[in-house]
Amino acid sequence: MAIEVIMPKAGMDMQEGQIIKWYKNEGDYVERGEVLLEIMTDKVNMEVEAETSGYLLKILKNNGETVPVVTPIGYIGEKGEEIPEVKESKETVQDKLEIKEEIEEIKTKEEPEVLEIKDKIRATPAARRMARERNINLFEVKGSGPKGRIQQIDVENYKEGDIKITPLARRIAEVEGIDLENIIGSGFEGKIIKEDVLKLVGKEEKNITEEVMEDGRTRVVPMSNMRKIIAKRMSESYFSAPTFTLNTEVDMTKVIELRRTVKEQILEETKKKITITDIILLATARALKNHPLVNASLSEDGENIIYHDYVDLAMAVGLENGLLTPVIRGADKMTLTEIVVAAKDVTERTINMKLLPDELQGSTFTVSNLGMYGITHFDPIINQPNSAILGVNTIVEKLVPVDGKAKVKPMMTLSLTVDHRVIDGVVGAKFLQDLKSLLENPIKILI
Amino acid sequence: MSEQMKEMTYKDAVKLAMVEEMRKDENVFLMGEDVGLYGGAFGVSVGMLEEFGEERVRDTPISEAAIAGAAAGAAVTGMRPIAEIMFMDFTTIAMDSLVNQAAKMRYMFGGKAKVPMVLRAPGGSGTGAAAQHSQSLEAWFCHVPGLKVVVPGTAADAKGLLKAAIRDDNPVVFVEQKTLYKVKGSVPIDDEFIIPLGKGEIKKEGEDVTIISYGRMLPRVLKVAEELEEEGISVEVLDPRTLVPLDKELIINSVKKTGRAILVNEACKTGGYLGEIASVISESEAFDYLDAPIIRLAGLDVPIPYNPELESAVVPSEKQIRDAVFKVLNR
Repeated sequence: MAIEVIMPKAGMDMQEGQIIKWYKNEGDYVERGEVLLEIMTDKVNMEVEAETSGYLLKILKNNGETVPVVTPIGYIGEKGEEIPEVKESKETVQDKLEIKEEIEEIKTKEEPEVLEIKDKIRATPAARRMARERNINLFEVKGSGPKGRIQQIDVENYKEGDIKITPLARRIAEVEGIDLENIIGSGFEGKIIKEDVLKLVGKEEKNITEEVMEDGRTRVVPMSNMRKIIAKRMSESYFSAPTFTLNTEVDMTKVIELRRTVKEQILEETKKKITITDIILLATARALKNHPLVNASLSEDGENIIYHDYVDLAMAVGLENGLLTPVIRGADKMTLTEIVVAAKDVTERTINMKLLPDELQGSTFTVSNLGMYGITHFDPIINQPNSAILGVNTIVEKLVPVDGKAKVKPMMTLSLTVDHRVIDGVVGAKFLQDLKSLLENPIKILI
Repeated sequence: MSEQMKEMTYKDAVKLAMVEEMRKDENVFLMGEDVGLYGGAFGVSVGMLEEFGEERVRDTPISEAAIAGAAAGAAVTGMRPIAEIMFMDFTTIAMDSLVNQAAKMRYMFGGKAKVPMVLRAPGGSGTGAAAQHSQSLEAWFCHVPGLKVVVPGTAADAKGLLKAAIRDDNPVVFVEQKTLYKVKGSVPIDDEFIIPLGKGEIKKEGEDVTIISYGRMLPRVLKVAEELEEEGISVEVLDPRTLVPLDKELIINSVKKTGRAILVNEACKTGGYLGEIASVISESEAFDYLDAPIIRLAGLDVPIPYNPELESAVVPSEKQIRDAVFKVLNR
């Protein structure tokens, strides 16, 4: 029997994927485990391997097409084998609702068939009378009776300020298991409408086309998924965490020396070029071990501090149209060589969009480096749920007084932005002081 | 009303009402098949022949048409006849005199004629008498303007209502319940104990749901209501007692109070009187107080079976009444 090739679900919240390229043509033979095609999820590119050996009998979805997860996109089987009749499988929330309704309908078939009138409220006369008297909009009352019928008691128990939501939106949220408290309503007076719920389940109807405004000089371009996620996460972080930024200047003379000393050896061993950033990453990981608060997170309810006995270091990697923060796991346990390899690996794979979704999650601290662009100082935004983020700036030669004489030294500013809910000024300052000291005597990070 | 009460059967309460009225008013007399010498098919009139004689307790030929016709004629001439039809099923034969004559005369003669007659007829199933001797046909009579229809469910009501029916100047169809004849109850012995026609009664006060029932189903409903009371469900039981005229005020107020209505009778559901009561509720201000659809529990739309198991299966059971209560309460 021909085996389906499906759009894989590569992450908890992955809803759909785009087919970048099929590596095989219809009729080609594939071995189990061979790369069959490449897809792009919300954030990363990944290769899809054949789960069985056989001939690629049919390609249902072509390069460039975007399809929901677990949708069949092709078939593998024996030569000449029949493939099942191809049916459009576009299971949307709406479909799910309809299926559920069908089941319920069958369950309640003993009742005579009654035409279901959409947009009308099922409420008892008593409930309607009370709603009238109390000036309550029945659309906002949840019914506890059969088939969701609103009873008098429901109106009696209804309180102003209850969540305003359309019945359809409520239904979708129920089916999708979304807590109404988490939905921001965009309808009249903040009423939650269908689109608000669909947005949360990642099912919003897409409209990628660019729109040129009437004046011919303005274009409206829908955000990419990555852009949307960045926008959402940055807003959440910026508007929830009270932050401040601490800056300190570091003499980078010895870091530069260290790099020069170990460069050749590391290149020989690993074929990778060590950068200043690698040394800063290692020093940061070391310093974090001594400052657990800076490496901690705030719990979701905002009532507990979660300490991590490990350092999973995220590094911001800028891309043409976005930004990703891949994580180096266990950075505190690494040698300089190991961190060079690890940092190069994730950076390259990030740029090539080959990261696995899990590699983007679960950091304890983040480093963001804008030094290569000559930036001397900036206030980064925290990569939640981290409690702090380190901004690394460019190295500038400065005149520094040493023993009463002006000396030229390579100086660099470190900018530490902290979440004041977790970290106080002194805690952040001590961490920066420690980090500065490690960088000015980098031999310490090698021991 | 005197406080003196006497335990007696429904059947004896009916007889007591007739005897008292016949003693008071010489124009009152009883006629029907076997009401004299035999004492009535169900023994209702035992002993009455001895007290009042053949003039006033008259055995008739087996002709319901004749009984009803004679009663209507006697009533127009000033007598107050009580005519017994042995089984309610046989009122079919009495229909012309009742519907086309008795019910119409007062209207057609501009109020100059009155027809103070009572047609007593035992109805209902439960005695193993099969399809031609077990029907509950009260809805037919309710549909005819000019007739009053009474269905007592207790011994006391039987006495008070029958006395009111005898004293009423209009034709009254008095539907007795065969299976209640032997049921005992406390009956006031006051010979002026009258229950006005058109007055229902709350048989049990309650808050959660109103069950409206009459006749044979009334004791069944009351039993379920008492059981539910112990389970914390407060059922109000309302007996309209008179179907025409109907005590709408009592019904509407009760349903307004509880917000839920269940209607129970033995007669077939389709075209039955429960539909009328449901409509009265829906058309009234009580509609806006309904918190559940009105439920009708009625007999199945079939001829009453002879098989005793089937016979009891075609009328509402205690379980069905219970289930209906839970349904309207969403439990």
